Amino acid sequence: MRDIVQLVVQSVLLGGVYALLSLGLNLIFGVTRIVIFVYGELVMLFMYVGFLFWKHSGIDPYYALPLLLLVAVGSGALLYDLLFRRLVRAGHLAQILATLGLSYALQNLAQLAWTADVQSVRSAWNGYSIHLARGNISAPSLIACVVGLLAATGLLQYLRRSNGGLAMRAVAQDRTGAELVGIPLDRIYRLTLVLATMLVALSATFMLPLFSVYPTVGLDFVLIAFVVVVLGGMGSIAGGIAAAFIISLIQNFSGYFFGIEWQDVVYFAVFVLTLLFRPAGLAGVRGTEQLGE
Amino acid sequence: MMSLSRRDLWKPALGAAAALALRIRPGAAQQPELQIGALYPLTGVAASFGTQQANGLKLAVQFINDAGGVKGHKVTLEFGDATNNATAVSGAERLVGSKVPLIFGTASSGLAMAASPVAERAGVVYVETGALNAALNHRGFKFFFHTRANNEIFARQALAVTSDVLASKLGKKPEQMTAVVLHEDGPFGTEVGQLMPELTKQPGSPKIVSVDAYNIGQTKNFGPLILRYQDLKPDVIYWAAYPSDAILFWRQAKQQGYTPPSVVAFSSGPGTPEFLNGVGKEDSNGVLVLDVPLGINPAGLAPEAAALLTKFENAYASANSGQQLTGNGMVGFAGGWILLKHVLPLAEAFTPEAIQAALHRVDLPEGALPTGWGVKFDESGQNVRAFPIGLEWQDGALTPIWPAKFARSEPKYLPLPGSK
Repeated sequence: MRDIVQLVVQSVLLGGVYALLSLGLNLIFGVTRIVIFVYGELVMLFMYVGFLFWKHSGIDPYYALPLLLLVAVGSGALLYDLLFRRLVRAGHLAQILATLGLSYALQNLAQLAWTADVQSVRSAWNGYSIHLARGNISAPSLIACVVGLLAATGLLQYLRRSNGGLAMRAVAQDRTGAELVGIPLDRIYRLTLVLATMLVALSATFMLPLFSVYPTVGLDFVLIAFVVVVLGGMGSIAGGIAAAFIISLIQNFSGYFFGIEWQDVVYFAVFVLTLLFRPAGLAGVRGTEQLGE
Repeated sequence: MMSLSRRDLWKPALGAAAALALRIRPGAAQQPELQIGALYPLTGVAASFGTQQANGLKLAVQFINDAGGVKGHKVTLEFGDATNNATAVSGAERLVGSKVPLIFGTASSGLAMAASPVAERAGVVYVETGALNAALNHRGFKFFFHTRANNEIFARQALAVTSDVLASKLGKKPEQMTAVVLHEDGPFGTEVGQLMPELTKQPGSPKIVSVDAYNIGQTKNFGPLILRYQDLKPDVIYWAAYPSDAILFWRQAKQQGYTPPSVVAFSSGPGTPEFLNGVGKEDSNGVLVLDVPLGINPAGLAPEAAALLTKFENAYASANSGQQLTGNGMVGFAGGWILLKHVLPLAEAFTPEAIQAALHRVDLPEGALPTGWGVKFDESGQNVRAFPIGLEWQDGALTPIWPAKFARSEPKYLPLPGSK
């Protein structure tokens, strides 16, 4: 019984982390419909920036957040202007090839710049845990989960209340219709990229004390982020958040009862089965499973 | 007949002078060369292991060349970059195509598995300096040789250190101990997961109560596994992991309040500086790593080997801008040294067949190499006189503690601090 409690707690914490990780992808995917294979590498790059900040300043990596957000604003806009603006109207093949190619390039550049060594930070918070009846909750996990939930709530509010958010939702639902009512697509896409990149920066900051960084770490993250976003339903932030927790629960419980080698098999099986019966994902609007126009 | 004016003579005169100058310069371009292939991951996921082994190998070549080369031949290495399986194969094909009689490689079991058949088909000798997979030796290959200990030797050493050291420290007889095997699901880890249950069938061995495999990239959460270990309470974890997963597991275990009484790691992840940086000095204390003999007490070595060890350690530091010497650097050097110093001089010619024959003839006792190894290749191409030693993380330094003749210290943190 105590194990079950610990499992539930761990699932919630990890679910928060997964939600945090996938918010940026959810936004980009939902609004621009671009198959963005380079998402993992964006996370990786921001983690490196955070790591370098910690390494050279000695200041706790959480304090790198303002710096990373600043970098995100600039790089998000740049990423859109230089690459994504063209990809938005391009066919799926072009999107996949371009982002996949960029992904490989970034992995290799990262390795050239920082070697393949596995780099870890140690935040002052790493040593803290909250003691439960059975086992502990680590402070960095709790912080990441809380930040994830706050960011998700913030994003939801923004999408619901602000003009920019409203426009984004319109574009996500029907690109042509949005254009017809005068929504400036180009500006909205740029806004989406900038906002998404800021979310990436946020997730990188709070994941860095949890996970080491190395040039190919993006590959590890991108798969789970995609599963969360697609399972949750494209165009639905709330769906994505729910999916994050569901995936985490499935992973933890199957890992415990069947053995750790099963934890990924089981959640993937559930993912595939769900898509068979609900192709648009759990909360997806019917029709959003079609990529592109 | 052409008339030559003085003005025309300056060109041939200059040419003759240059030719004379080149001939007079001592040793220039007259020494015959022996080109040898070297196929290592210099980029990609395994790049840190690959570059370190390559650096060790390069020093072995340099030492040999400084002393006049092999039978008067200057040794040159032609490098291939085995970033992944596909480039390992194409790299091997290219090296075979340049007619080298011998290829060194590959630091990783997966890459070795991919590249070595290319050499075997072409009848080129393939010397693996770093990978651990014993399956590499059981393919019936005639030209494949492994200078370093393989997983089978590691597994036997794991049990030996369990009875010699762990049992008494934990206050139990070996057969009273329980164990789990935690391994990554690639070729390296999977083999460890197969070997340990096999070997523990022998009487006087610990009882293995769980074998757990995980995927190195995908598994970011060891929580459920740690819970199970908290229930099972094994006395020892036999661990086959790479750096990132080793750090993740250990950190999460510590955060969850779990410390096993002892851990025996099969080289790789838990023995790296990355692991130390990732978990911190205090949390690393007591982790036992079976690994390349590094920093050993030279009293266990033959005198020439001890001298060579010191020379190599100093040279490595200066040649690699102060980069720390790791086991990978050491095995690269050891593999190169075995071939260049002890095998090639025995070969009648620099052909694969002659080198293969020489590899089977070489016979050196333990202590002959700076790693404390001897050299004797069995029919499967395995150097049966290579072995790992037991090193314990003590306050940030990986310290040899077993066997006694190579030890620098007694075990300091067994059972692990924090384990109940």
